[in-house]
Parts: sequence; C-alpha cells; structure tokens
Amino acid sequence: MRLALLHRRLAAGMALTALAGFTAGAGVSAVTALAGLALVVALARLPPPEAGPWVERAVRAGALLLCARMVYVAFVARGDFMPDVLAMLLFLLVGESLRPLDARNDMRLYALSLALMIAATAYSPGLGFAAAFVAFVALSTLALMTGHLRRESERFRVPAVRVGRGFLGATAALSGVTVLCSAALFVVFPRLPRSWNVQGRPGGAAVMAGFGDEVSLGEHGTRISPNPEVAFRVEFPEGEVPDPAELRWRGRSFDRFDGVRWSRTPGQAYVAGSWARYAERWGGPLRSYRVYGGPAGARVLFGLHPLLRVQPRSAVRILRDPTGDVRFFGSDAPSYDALSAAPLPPEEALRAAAGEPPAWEARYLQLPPLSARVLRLADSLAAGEPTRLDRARAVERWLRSEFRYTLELPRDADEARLESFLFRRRAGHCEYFSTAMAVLLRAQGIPARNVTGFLGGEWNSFGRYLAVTGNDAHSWVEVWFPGLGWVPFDPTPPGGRALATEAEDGWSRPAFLWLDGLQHRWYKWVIGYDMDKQVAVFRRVGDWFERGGGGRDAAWRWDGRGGGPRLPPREALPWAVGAAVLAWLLVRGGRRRRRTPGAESRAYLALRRAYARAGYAEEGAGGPLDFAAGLRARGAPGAEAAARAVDLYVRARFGGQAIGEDGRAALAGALAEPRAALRVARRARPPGRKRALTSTGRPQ
Amino acid sequence: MTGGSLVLGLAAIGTGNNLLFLLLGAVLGFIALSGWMSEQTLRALEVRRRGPVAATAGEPARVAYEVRNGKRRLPSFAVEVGEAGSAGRAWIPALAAGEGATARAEQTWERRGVYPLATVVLATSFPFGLFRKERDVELPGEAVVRPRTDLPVREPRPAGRRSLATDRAHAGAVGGRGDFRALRPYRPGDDPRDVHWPTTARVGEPTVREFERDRSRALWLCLELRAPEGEAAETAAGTVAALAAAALRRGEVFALATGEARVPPGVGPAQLERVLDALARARFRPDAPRVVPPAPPAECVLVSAGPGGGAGWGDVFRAGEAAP
Repeated sequence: MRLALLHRRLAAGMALTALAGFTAGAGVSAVTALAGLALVVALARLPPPEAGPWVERAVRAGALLLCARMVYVAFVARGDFMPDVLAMLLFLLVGESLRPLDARNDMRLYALSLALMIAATAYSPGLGFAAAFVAFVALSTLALMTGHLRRESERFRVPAVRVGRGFLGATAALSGVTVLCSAALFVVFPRLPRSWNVQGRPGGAAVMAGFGDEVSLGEHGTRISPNPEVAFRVEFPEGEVPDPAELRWRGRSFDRFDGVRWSRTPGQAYVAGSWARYAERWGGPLRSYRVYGGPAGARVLFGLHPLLRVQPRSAVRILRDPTGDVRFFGSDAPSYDALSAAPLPPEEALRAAAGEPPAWEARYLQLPPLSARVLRLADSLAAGEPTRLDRARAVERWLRSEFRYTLELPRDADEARLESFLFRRRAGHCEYFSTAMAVLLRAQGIPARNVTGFLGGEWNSFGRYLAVTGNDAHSWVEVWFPGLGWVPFDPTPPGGRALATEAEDGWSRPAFLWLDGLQHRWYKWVIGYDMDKQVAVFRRVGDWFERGGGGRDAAWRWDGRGGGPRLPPREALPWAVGAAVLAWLLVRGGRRRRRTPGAESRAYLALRRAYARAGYAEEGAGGPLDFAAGLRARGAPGAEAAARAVDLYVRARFGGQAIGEDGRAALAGALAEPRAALRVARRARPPGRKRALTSTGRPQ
Repeated sequence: MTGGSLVLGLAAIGTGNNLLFLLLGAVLGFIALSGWMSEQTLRALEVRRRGPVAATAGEPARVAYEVRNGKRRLPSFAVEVGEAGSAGRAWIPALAAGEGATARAEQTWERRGVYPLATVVLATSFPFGLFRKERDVELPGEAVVRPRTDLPVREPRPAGRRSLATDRAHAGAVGGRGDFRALRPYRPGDDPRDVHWPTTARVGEPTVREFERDRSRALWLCLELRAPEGEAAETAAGTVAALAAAALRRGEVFALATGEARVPPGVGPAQLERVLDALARARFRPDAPRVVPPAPPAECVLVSAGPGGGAGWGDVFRAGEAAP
C-alpha cells in the first residue's frame, strides 16, 4: 500500500477511535452517527482526487454556516452553544479526513482528533473510553510514524518507501509504552483535593423514572421494559453481605396522592425526626457502606433506611430535606460514604409505640376522593387489629397474599386506577401495591407515605460490590410510629423482583458482571482517582519497599485512606494464566518471526517449488548448488537464469553479503525468467502427459 | 507539542478531570517514546564514506555513504547522513538489523580546492518528527573540488602564432605545426604568415590556412602560482582546466606544470582527471616557486593570474583575458 494512503487511513482510523471515545461519553446522536459514517468512508475509500475542490468548498461553506449558527445561539438566542462547537469539531474532522491524499493536513487531523478526545473527557465516559483510548494511542503512534516517514520521503524525494506488516505490528506494540507512560503519569501526577475541582456528569444515558418529584400510576399500554443499566454500586467494608436481596435502597418519599399520581408538598416542615435517635431507639448494629453513582437524572442519594449519616466523597453538596430524603447538588457524579441503622426496630418497640400525633400528621393522612368500597375495605382489614403495627401488617399481608405481581401494564386509563387494581384486576406492579397500602392505612388514620428506591441488587464477585440496576427499582411504604419514626413495609408479593431475576438468569450474565466490574473499577480508580487514593497508593508502594514486598495487611482500609486496591487471590490466578499465555504467544510469535525466511530465501524456495512442480527437481532434496547443477544437467528451461538466482541467494544467505535492493531486484528478475520458461515449456507439453520422476528427479 | 502538553496539564489540574491526566500522560508518553526511539535509531550505526570525494566547483556533487545497522534486533528508520556543517543530507528510509545500505548526499562547493572532511553526522527525527537527534562520527577525509572546465577559452597557439595577450608573434619551434587542414576567413590574431594570398585575391577577403597541430607533441599547460589567492587566481585555474578539457576534446596530448607539481603528458579522460586533481590542489601564493617550462617555452602555454612575464612562451593566457 502506498505510504500516503496508509497514512491517511491510519489518521482516519485515529479520528474514528476519537469519535468512539466521544460517543462512549456523550452517546450516539445523529451528528456523531453521520460523522462516523463519513470517517468510515474516508477509511475505506477516499473520494477521487477530482472531488477535492468540491470537498474543499463544502467544508468551507459548512464551517461558515456552523460558525454563523454558533454566533446566533451564543449572542442572540443566549443558549448553550457547546453542541454547535462539538458539531463544528466533528465537521472539520470529517472534512479533513475526506480531503485528497496530497493535501498536507496531517497535523490538522491529529489536532482535531486529540481535541475530540479532550472533549470526550468532559462527559466522564465509561469503559468504552478506555478501549477507545488504547486504540487511539496505538493508531496515533502508527499514524504519526507513517506520517513522519511520508514527509521525510517527500522531502528527500524517495518515492518508493514501503512499510511492511512487521513495522506496523512493532509500532503498534510500541504504543504499549505510551499507554504505560500514560498510566504511570496518571498515578503519580499530584492531585488536588476533590472539592477544588468540578467534574462533568455522565451524559447520554436515559433518565431513570421514579426519582423525580412525581410518580404516576396512570401508565398503561404494554409491559414494563427491563432496564439492566447499573444505577449505582455499593461496597461494604466487610466484603460480600449475606442478605443483598433484602436491602432496601431508599430514595424519595411522596406525601400527596391525587388518585393517579404521587407528589411532594413543597415547603414541608421537618418531619424526619432526629436521625441520631433512630440509631438510639432502633438499636441493632450499624451498617456502613460506600455508594458510587446514582440513577441517571436523579438528584437524590440512595441509602438504607434509616440513613444516619452521609459523607460526600465527590464534589457534590448534600442537602437532607425535611422529609428525610437526601438530595445533592453539583455537576460531579455522586460518591459517598453512608451509615445506616438496623433495618427495623424491635417488634415489641413497634407494638408499644405510642405518643402524641405530630403537627404535620394531616399531610400523611391526605387522601383523594375514594369510593365507599375502598373505605369499607380499609375498615375490614383493620378490624380486630389492636395496634398500628398489626394493622399495617394485616394490610401488607393481604396485599401480598391476595394479589399478583405482574409486569403487564393496565390496558387503559380506567384499568390503571387504584380501585380497578383493588377490586377488578388484582394484579399490578410495585407502585400499585405501595399506593394501595398507603391509601388503606391512611383511610384507617395511620400516617403513611409512598417511597421509591431499589430493592436488593446483584453481588458482583469480580468487583466485590453490589450492583443495583434499573431492574431493581422498587416502591414501598413507610408508616409513622410515634417515638420510632418511619418504618418500612413492603406489600409487593415476592414476584416483585421478576425483572431482576429474569436479567440475572440470562446466559450472558457472567460476562455482563465481569464487564460491569471493570466499569466499576474504571469509575472508581480512573474517573474517581483523587488525592486520597493517590496517597493510599503511595503509602502502599512505600510499605512494599519497607517491608520487602509483604505490605501491611491492614493497609487497604475500606475508607480508602489506608491503601490501594488489592487483587483478591482467587482472581490473581486467571490473570496470571492469561499473562503466561500472552507471553507464550509473544515468544512463539518472535521465534516464528525469526524463522521466517528473508526475501532471498523466499525467492529461492519459490524457484525450487516452481521447478519441482514442473518435474525438474525434488522439493527439499539437495542443496542450492546441487539444485542449480541438476537443472543445468537436465537441460531445464531457464536453467541459466535459475543458476544466477541461486548464486545470488547463496551469496546473500550464506556469504553474508548484503545484496541490497538492487540485488533483490536482480533476484526477482532472475526468478521471472525461469518461471516464464517453465510456463512456455508447460504449454508446449502435450495434454494429458505427466512427467514421472525417477528417484533422482529426472523426468522420463 | 510541549506547549500543548502544558495547556493540557493546566487544564487537567484546573478541572481535576482525571481523563485529561490520562491524555496528558499519553502526550508525554509520545514524547518519551520519541526520545527513546530516536536514540535507538542512531545506536550502533556504522558509517563510512564510499570512495574519494571528487567534485566540481559550483556543481552539486553526490557524496556516497555506506551505513550499516550493527544492532542485533532493532531496525533503524529515517536516518539522515551528511557532512557536519553542510546542508546536504542523504536519507535512508529503513535499515534492518545487521543490514547495510548506500545513500548519496548532494553537496556543492563553490570554490576549487581540497576541503578537509572531519565528521559525518547521523541524524534522525524518527519516529514522530517531534525532536531531532544527531550523532557525530569522526571520519577524516577530504573532498577534492576541481575547477570548472566550461570557462570560454580560445585555442592556444604555442607554435609561433600571434598571441592575443601580448600582440606579439612568437617564432615557434621547428615542426611545431602539423599538416594542412583547411582554409578559413582571417580572424584577428591570426599569424599573417598563414594568409593564403591566392585565395584572398580570388574571394576578395583575407583567408588563412589552418594546420593540424603536431599531435606527437604535448601541449604543456603551465600555471603560474605566484599570485595572491582570489578571483583572478581562480580564473587562472579555471582557464587551465578549460584548456585541458578543450585539448581532450581535440584528442591532443596535454600536460600540466606548476611551480610545485607536474602531470606528465597523457591523453584521454583519465589525463583530464589527473590535471583537474592537480589544479584542485594548486595553491596560489605570492611566494610560490615560479613555474619552469618543462619543454621549450615556445611550445608551452603559460596561464597566470597577474600581469607581467610571459616573454618567450608559446602562448600566454592571463586571468580575465582568456575569452576569445
């Protein structure tokens, strides 16, 4: 392949990987899809040179239009002009990639590709960026090298510079050095405290419903679609937790129900009670954990109820609102340490709970207009139950036993109503159950509220964290117990985790978990690498040297201040095996390469094969001089030229003479002559007659 | 690149965006890789000049270098070779481990002379063109720059013809003139004795006889070095070179004599090479020994850089007066 064409293709590939990195964060849009398509065209088939002026004009006109639009958006519409800046970047990149081969635009291509990668970093992209980054570095190394060779060959007017596969392979391997340098600098470059910086939030992901200011029951039509996207990940200091399915990750609470939707009353008084008292009165062990991320679009932090303390670890500000929900502000992805009390207070304490009704109680007793049937149902369920706990349990039990969980949504708006759920359909998803329980309790005069969050999660043994996905989204009820606070109840039947269970049973689940583990590590150790982690890494390295490689067992403390990541021993084995296999393959490849004959040997072997096929020699029998002498003796066509070729081969291969390009050309020429002679001899041979070989290979 | 890295570093520190640190690392990695690879490219390269370096003043000459990659495994790419202090460079795209290649660099020396060559520079800006690395290899040698041979000169007339320079006719030696060749119109400077009167009377304008030179006799070109260096001296050397080249074209035997060296009579291109080499090495200086005519002066042509002298010589060329 011509050096110029190879260079352009590599540069277009470099631009394509930069685009892949960009889409890993910003997502795929019409603009990025078009840019990708154009880059693929540039990679596969450049427009002909005569199209050059057209491309030039189109790029100029397009750039002017985009500039005009940017100015309009920035100064007239006063809007966000960053999308237009990015569109301009992509447009210029595509324009440069489609230019004719003789255009001296390689530096512009490099700069635009790098600019696109820089733009991608603003979106805190996931693991896709890591793959794109490695490919970008490899292709950049190749493109820069071939570009340099191209420039130099043009400068010195050496037109026929050829680049072999070995060169490309070795160069691509050398890009590993760049990646290692990059990783090393990434680790050691001094970081500032987190609060000094502001990072971008992940973009492009669909907003997860249920964690805004409203939750609606009115959706109808089809089936709830699964959402396996990981909402957040949780690490526990003790490692794997025994009961992950029982963990209730509380997010938002809703106090007002209008018959169709739950909403929050603005300007609420403080209703949560003292959070410290939860621990005091509920007793039981405290549970601490660290949460990474949150559902896309949700501005609330999730934690186990009751959440006693939240400590941000990323550049976000936390606000605990009067209802006890924890909201956050800031553009960074949330990451926080949390401390929760036991999930439930003792049974006796719940039964004995009594006290004056709080001033805000009426808000949690609010009800939409209900039919008498509903009120009668509430009364019938409460009949004979002496305490608030018993009544709540009775409603919970009734819903769990008499109703069915389904992912099918109601067919129409009428069927979507609560009464339809209670008396006709008797099946629904978690929001119907929690709404029904809250309404039935309120109808009995018990303060209750609807709560959304996530139930359970899946333990990822590769990453050693709990992955909570969109399929774990759930809704339940909190009931107020005087003196104890809000206590959760879950009226949804056990089938409520159907989505999560479906997803967990998939054949591709192990691969998904493995990838998610990598993704988590990426976010934790790359996107979220901060001064604390840096200090921890340095300490661990210091310990390693001080104690002769042993390290201190307690160095990796869960709070991240004590040490760096440690590979669990059971995971070290596959890594070690993988590394060994890779090393073996590399060594084997190297040996093969060493065994690969040079150009002279290849030409000589081709010559031998040609004569062997024609019946003038035996493949592999005798040395090169015997071969040449044999050809002469048998009067083989082109024997003299073949002898010259053999002579050149012997001089190069055994005489240690560098025959150079001229010698190789002569060898190729010498090879062509006997081949042509053999072709002529073959054509002249009568059809059907084959040469039989004697033991010496002489044709008879 | 360095400026870009700085900006990227500041952006990474300012925003705390870890991926910018990663990109910064990649950029610095490129710089480190570039430095290492250019170092490796030049390592264990052996170079030697091929053959004597001979050039003509003012004309580009091709200096050949043989470069061998002495590394056991690593190839070298984009190697430049040339003389230290000169702009001419040869370029070798690739050199496999253990292999050698020949490359030629174009170089121009404006003046005649012998130029000492001391150092060959091996250079590369491989792999990315970001930085340039050079390695000096001490390789003593010399470039012999010969004078140009295309200075316009008239035909010398050492055999008693009238000298244009002195406007005097020289007696010439017996037998200095060869066989009759042709008649031609008279040109100023021709010997009046050569006028062929019958033809002149018939055609009505002066016509002279032309004779072949006696090819058995050598045309001795004698260069007077006793003169200061300068433009006139260079012109004198160029005149001798042009006279020698003209003699070669005519197929004559010619020879060179200076106060310091002699090139015995000879013919053919090799003789011209010898004469030009001697001219390249000739050094003009006021105290140089005077040239002694190796044959009867009337059969020799004197070429000098300054005025004076010339009495008794067959023909005399002075710098600046050589053109016909």
